[in-house]
Parts: sequence; structure tokens; C-alpha cells
Amino acid sequence: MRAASAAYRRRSRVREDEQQKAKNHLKGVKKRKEIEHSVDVFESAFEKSFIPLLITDRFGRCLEANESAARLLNRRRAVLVRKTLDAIFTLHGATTVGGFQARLSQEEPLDAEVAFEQKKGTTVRVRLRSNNLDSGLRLISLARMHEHGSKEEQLVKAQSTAALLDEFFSLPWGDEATDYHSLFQHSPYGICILQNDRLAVVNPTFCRLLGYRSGEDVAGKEIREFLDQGSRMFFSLLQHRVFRGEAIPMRFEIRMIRHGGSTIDVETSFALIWYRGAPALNLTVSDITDRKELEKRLTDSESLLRNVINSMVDALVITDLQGKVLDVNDEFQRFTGFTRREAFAAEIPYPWVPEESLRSFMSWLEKLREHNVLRDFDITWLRKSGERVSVSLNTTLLRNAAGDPVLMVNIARDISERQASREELSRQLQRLQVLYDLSSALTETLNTDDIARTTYQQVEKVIPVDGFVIDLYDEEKNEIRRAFAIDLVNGIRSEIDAPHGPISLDKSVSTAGVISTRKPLLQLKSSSDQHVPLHPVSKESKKASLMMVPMVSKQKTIGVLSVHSYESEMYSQEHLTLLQSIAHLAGIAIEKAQLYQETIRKSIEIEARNKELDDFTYVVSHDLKEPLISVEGYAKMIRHEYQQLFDAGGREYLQAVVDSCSHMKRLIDDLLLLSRISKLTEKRSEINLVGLISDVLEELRFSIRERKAEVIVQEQLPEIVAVDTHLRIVFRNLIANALKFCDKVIPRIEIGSRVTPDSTTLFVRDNGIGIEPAHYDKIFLIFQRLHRKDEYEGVGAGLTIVKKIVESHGGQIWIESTVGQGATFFFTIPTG
Amino acid sequence: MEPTEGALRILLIDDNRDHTTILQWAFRKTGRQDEFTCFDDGSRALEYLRTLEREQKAKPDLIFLDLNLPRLDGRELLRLLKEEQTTKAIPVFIVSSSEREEDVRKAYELGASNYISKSAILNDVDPLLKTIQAYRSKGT
Repeated sequence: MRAASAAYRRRSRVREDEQQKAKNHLKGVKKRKEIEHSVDVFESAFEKSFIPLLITDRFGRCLEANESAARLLNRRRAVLVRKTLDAIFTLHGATTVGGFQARLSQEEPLDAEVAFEQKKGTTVRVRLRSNNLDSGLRLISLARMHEHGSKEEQLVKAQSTAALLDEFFSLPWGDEATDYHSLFQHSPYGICILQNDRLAVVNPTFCRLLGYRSGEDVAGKEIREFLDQGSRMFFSLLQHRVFRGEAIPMRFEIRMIRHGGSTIDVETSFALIWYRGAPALNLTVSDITDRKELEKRLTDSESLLRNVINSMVDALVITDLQGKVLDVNDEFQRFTGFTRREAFAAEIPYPWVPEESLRSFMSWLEKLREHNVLRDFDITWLRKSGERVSVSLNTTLLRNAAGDPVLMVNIARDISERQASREELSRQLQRLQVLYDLSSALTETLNTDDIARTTYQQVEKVIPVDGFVIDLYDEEKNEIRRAFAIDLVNGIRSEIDAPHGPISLDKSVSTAGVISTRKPLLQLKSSSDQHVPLHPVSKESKKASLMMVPMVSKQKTIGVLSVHSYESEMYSQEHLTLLQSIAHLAGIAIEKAQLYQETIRKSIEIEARNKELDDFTYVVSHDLKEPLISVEGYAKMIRHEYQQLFDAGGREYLQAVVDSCSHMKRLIDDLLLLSRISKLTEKRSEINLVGLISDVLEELRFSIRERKAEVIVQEQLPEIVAVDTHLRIVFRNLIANALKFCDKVIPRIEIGSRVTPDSTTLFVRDNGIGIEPAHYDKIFLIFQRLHRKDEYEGVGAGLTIVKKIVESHGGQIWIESTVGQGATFFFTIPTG
Repeated sequence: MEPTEGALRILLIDDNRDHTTILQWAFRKTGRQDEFTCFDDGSRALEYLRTLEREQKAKPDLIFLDLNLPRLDGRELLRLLKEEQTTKAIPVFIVSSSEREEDVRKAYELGASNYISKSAILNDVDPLLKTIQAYRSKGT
């Protein structure tokens, strides 16, 4: 509006003279006003026309040019004004007589092809038409001739321009406004002239916007009918202001009712004009449905965002880059107690960040510049109430479309509960750790005292104790023995010397109860129950809190573990459960220790008995040997000295005595050997097996030769560590056995070895009579014979000696055999 | 029987008289004419040797000594014999029914010249005689 009136004023100045002349043509005020209004309307039509237009006087002097014309002619409007058409254009064609002045002065409209220099060296051809306005002015329209366009095209363009102008000129309200009319008809804006609140004139776009076919449908109707309820008041208010000459917004939005009742949002501008001699409103409307929709969506998403932010379970603080608070959400207000108003515009240090957290908070923010997003920063916040709360902070740096940081978003989550459960978890972990430490510590000791002490050390970490007692239970005697005790002595926990000797159980009521029921006892304040006194002259106050749990292993009650405190209500069910787990571990460890000690005692006992037995064997065999030597000696003397006194029968009997003596002597020698093998005095040495075996074979060479035996010894044999003399006995016995128990014509004996990292396995294989599997164990028993003496001679101690030697070296011996095909004796000698 | 060359004076100390009888027989049946003087207890044997020394009489060429003796044990007697200047040169052969290695070792430690198993002698005295022969030729 303002631009339009400014243009009008400018134009008024420019063509003062002409206007004066034009005014002279006017007849009466009414006519003048009509023109004034038409000029006003014309103003915008002329200005906005896409057709390049010029206004000249009848002499071809340019008075006005619109923007399209200025653009086409490539000259500023101020330059165009006052120039004559002759100065701008060159007329073409042979028919040209004189300049534009001559042509325009004729009453006939001019229609000619002209050319002008658009740029230096660029000539553009246009079609120029002039129309005579009744004021004596000429309206010049220009249409560009496209050099590359077809003639038809040019023709169409020219014709359409002509038609447009014709329409314009046919307007009833004066030639001067006909240009405007054309624009009015074709404007993309809805245009309507309101007079007395009624629609006087509307353009087709206006009709279309409101859903009507033609102006006739709406002409004469009240504008109210087309205004939405909400827009009526506003509209009439503006209307009044306009008529009173007051300032109104250049553009405003109203909602109009379309044909059929639907509504349309439009942007409107008002202009006060004269129409048919009366003031009227020129109303321009444009459809803003799309924009409205977009705005609605924007509003929707904004409120959605707000809702989202407020429904967050975390507190949210939005700040600018300096940390100045721009917004907070509902949860922030609830959580901290600070209202949105209090938080708004707050700067660092925030009232909700306590002094002790400030430094870490600042360095947190510092990091943000590098990382964009920071997560899970645990910090303490201060509520308005002064209460401290743990929060986990996540901070995000928001950037705009250009990538520049603009906002900081802090999301704070209340982790007080998490903190609490974390503490609970760490308590549980500590308990597990204690149980684990206990079980691993307990595997390292087999001493009851150490077990008790270790158990106490672990219990003390997780259960508040003033005293700690382990009583061990002897089921057979129904007694307990105090293994370990801790109690307060002068306020300090100290180890108390356990009372000497066992305590009969009936004196100790609660301990007896725990043992008999195998159920734990939890006492939370002083009771009259009897307990085993910690020390005879105890002057301590009574135990207030007490837990007693049985130590049970494999259904056997090993003892009772108890802890106590002199304060009431110290223990929970949780403590009791924990103590039971500890007691269970301690119970197993104590039982193991007891078993171990029992085993040690037994093995010492067995060793002593073995030694006794060996000594006995030695003494007996030695003492038996003495008279045997006498018997044998005398028998030999008699046989030698008094041979002639006996007959054949007597000599045979005498020989039997001698034979029996030597058999008995072998028995005794074997017994002596057996008893000596277990003695640990024998020294072990590295043994060259090849040498040792060849020595043994040398010893046995007569038997081997006699039996025509084939002996194969593995070429390479490993070195082993053993008692040399004993190993000789082993090979001698095994080889002798192989020779003895053979029914084949040629006995075949094979000696070899297999080496593993742990031991060397040696074997002696024969092709003899073999051994039935049922006898595999029996043959190693002393004096066991599988055959009659007259079948195979021998005393039956050889394999017993072999087995004892192998076992005294820490090895094993076994047999593989097929009856009738042979047997293999394997034995191992451990490495090292 | 004719005295054989190389007959020895042997002091035989053994509390088992059966054994002294049988041992002497075993020597004799080979045709040897060694002279045996027998004691059944160590202290008397020691006394005898000291008497021989006082009276400047010839000492035995060889002592056969059993280990288990009443009153003065064979080991103790051996130690004393080897300590005394007058007797230490006489070779002592331990003749025992024990074949225990520690007995054998102990005997050699105390200075015994040999250790002989009684049952071995009963079976065959030849090895012992050879040993004695070897010992004598080495000693002289």
C-alpha cells in the first residue's frame, strides 16, 4: 500500500503538467475522484504487469515505465522517463514515415515492429503497440520477438497481447483503468472491492478461492457471510481503522468460509480506494492453507517436543554455550525443587551444583567441546531443600544446520537407588569374596588351629563380632573341645587360651541344642540360656547378640561356630545365612584336617608295624638259620664220614635231610631278602641297564645254555635310577622264571623297555606256559605255588621279592599272558 | 693224617659249638691239618691272646670270629683286637650266619680281613681256603 502510494506521489511529481492537463479534461468532482481511484488501482496493475508497459504522451515522450519494461529494455526507469520513443527504438519497415511522434499523433493505434539496443552490440526486436487513453496519453505495450521462435508463435503472442489489451480497454470505468482490469482478471491473488461491506467486484481468483464459479454468485453479498466466526470481529475492527485513517498491519490472516461451508485461511491486505464515487476497500487475498498447515505442524511438533521433555523421567536442563539456562523440564523441577522460573537464566555455578562437585562439573563441560556427547558422569546435586542426591549426567552439544554448536542439553538421572543397590551389590560381592578367600585359604592348611584362625579372619570382615568361638564335637564321647576363641579383653578383641581338656556337653545348653538339632541359633538380646563360658573368670557382660551355627559334614556334626556381640540386635537373618556358609566351609576343612591327621597317625603306625615285622622276620630267619646250619652241617658230616654204615635207603634219607636243609635255607634267605627290601638304607644310583642285564645273563649262563634258550635284549636301553642290587634280583628272578616255566623246546626270552616322561617301563617276555588271568595276583603272594614242587622247583618267594622291589622304587608290576603261549612281566621304575 | 704244608694255627671264636665242630670238620675233610683253638666267648679268647703275648708264645695265624657272642660281642672284640699292637697284625675273618649288608660293612670298617657266610662254608670250603691262601701269600 505504502509503496503504491509513494509511487503514485512520485509519478504525480513527474507528470505534473500532464496531470494538470488531464484534470482539465475532467468534468466535475465525481469524475475526478473516479479517476483518482482508477489511477490508484491502475498503479498496482501497471506496476505488477508481466507485460512490459510504457506510458507516453501523444508525442512519444515517456512518462512512466513498469518493471517489466525496464527489465526488457535493460535501462533504469529513471533513465527511461522523459526519453522519447525515438531515442529508444528504431522503427523498421519501408512503411515508416517520420518518427514515433508522427505515428503516435495519429488517432490510429500504432502497431509496429521495432528494435532497440539492449546491450552494446545486441539488438532486440520487439512488437510495439500503442493504445490511446482518453486523457490523451498513450499506453505502449511491448512484446519480444523471439528470433528463434516460429512465426506462428510470434503471431500467437502478439495476438494474445492484443486480446488482453482489448479486454482491458473494454472496461466500462474509463480507459485509464483498463490496464488494471486485465491484471485484475488474471492476478494470482484474489482481489475484491468492498463497498458498504458488500462485495462490489471480485476477480476470478477470488471466486475460485472461495469455491464459486463466477463473480455473479458472490457479487452484492455481505463480506460477513464469507468470514469465519473468529475472523469477523477482527476484520471489522481493521476495516474501521482503515476508514478512520489509522495504521493497520500491512498483511494479516483471516479465515474465510468457502462455498459449501469449508474454510480457507488467507492472508489479506487492505487498501482504501474510491469506487464509483464512494470509498471502498480493495481487498487482496492469498491462499495460505499450505503455510497454515506447515505452521500447525510446527506448533504440533513443538508441543509434542515439550510434552516429551516433560514426560521424561530424567531431569533436563537446556543451556546456551556459556551454560546459561534456557529451559528445564517438569522432572527437573520435581527432582531438584527449583522451579522453572528459578532455574531460568541461571548461570554457572548453578544453585543445584554443590561446591564440592563444581570443579569436576566444570571439567566435565570442558570435555564436551571435544566430544559432543558425554555420558554417565556421576555427580552430586543439591536439592533446594539442601539434600544431596546422586545423579548420572549425560550432556549433549546441539549443533545447528551449519554444524555450529548452539545449545547444551544436560540430562540428569537420579541414581540414588542405583547407588544403594550398588552398595548392596558390593556388600554381596564382599561376602562372596570372603567365602571364596576362605575356601581357598582353607585348602592350604590341614591344621585345625590355622583353619579356626583363618575362618575368624574372614568372618570379622563381614560380620560385626566381639567374640568368635569354634567348639569341636566328639560324637563318641559326647564332649566338645574348644578349638579357638576370641573375645573382648579390656575392650580389645584377643585370642583366649582354650580351656584344657574337653567340656562335657550337658553343661552347655545352647551348644548342645545346636549340635543335637543341627539348626542354627540366632539371639538378638541377652538371654538366660546357658553358654559355655569363654574363660573361667569371665567378668564380661552377657553376650547380647549371638549366632551359633553347626559345622556339619557328611551328616556328621563336627562342631559349632559361634559369634557374639555385646550389643543387642546386631545380627540379621542375612548374617546367619552367611555364617552358615562359612561354617559349612570351615566344617569341611576341619573334617579334612582331622582325616589328614588320622591318616598321618595311621601311616606312622603302619610304618612302625612294618618295621617291627621286618625286624621280627629278620630275627626269626636269622635264629632259624643257626640251627639249620648245624643240621645241614651234621648231615653232611654223617654222609661223608659214616657213609659205609648206611644202606641205600639210609643214604637216600640222609640226602633228603640235606636237600630239605638247603630248601629251608633258601626260604630263609628269601625271607631275609624280603625283610631287607623295605629298609630305606639302600642307595639308588643311575644304572646302565644293558650292563646290568648282561651281568645277570652271565650269572644264569648255565641254565640258559642247558635250556638252549634264546635271549633277545633290546639294543638301546634307557638309564634308570634304582637300587642296583635290587634291580639285579628283579631281572634274575624274572629271567629265571621265564626259563623255568617253559614247555617249549627253545625258550625265547625278550627284554625291552618303553619310556614315558614319568617312568620307564621294562618288560621280560617269554614263550612259556603262561598264566591264567585268575592267577595274576596270586603269583605275587609269598610262598604261593601254582604247580607241584616236582613240576617246577623253587620256594615261591621270587615274584614276591620282585614285586616288593618294584614297589619300593615307587613302580608297579603287572602281567600280560596267554596261557600256553607265554607271559610278559611289565614293571615301571619312576623317572628321577 | 699227615700234616699238610701250610697248616695254620687258627683261633676260632664262636658260641655255637655245633658250628665250631662242623667248621673244623669241613677244613679237615679237605686233608688239611690246621690247628684250631676254640673259644665260645669273646673275653676268654681275648684273655687267651694276652696270655700268649705275656708268655711270648706263638700267636695264631688267623682268627675266625662270629659276630654274636656272649659277654664280649664279636664286633667289640674285633675293635679291641685291631686296637692292640700285639694282635692287630693277625688277620680276622668274620664267620657269621648273617648276610646282612650292614653287618658286613661294619665288620670291614672295624678292620676285618674277610667276611664269610657260614652256610657258604658248609656248602663248599674251597673258596675260603683260596682266600686264605691268597691272603697269606700277600701277607708274606
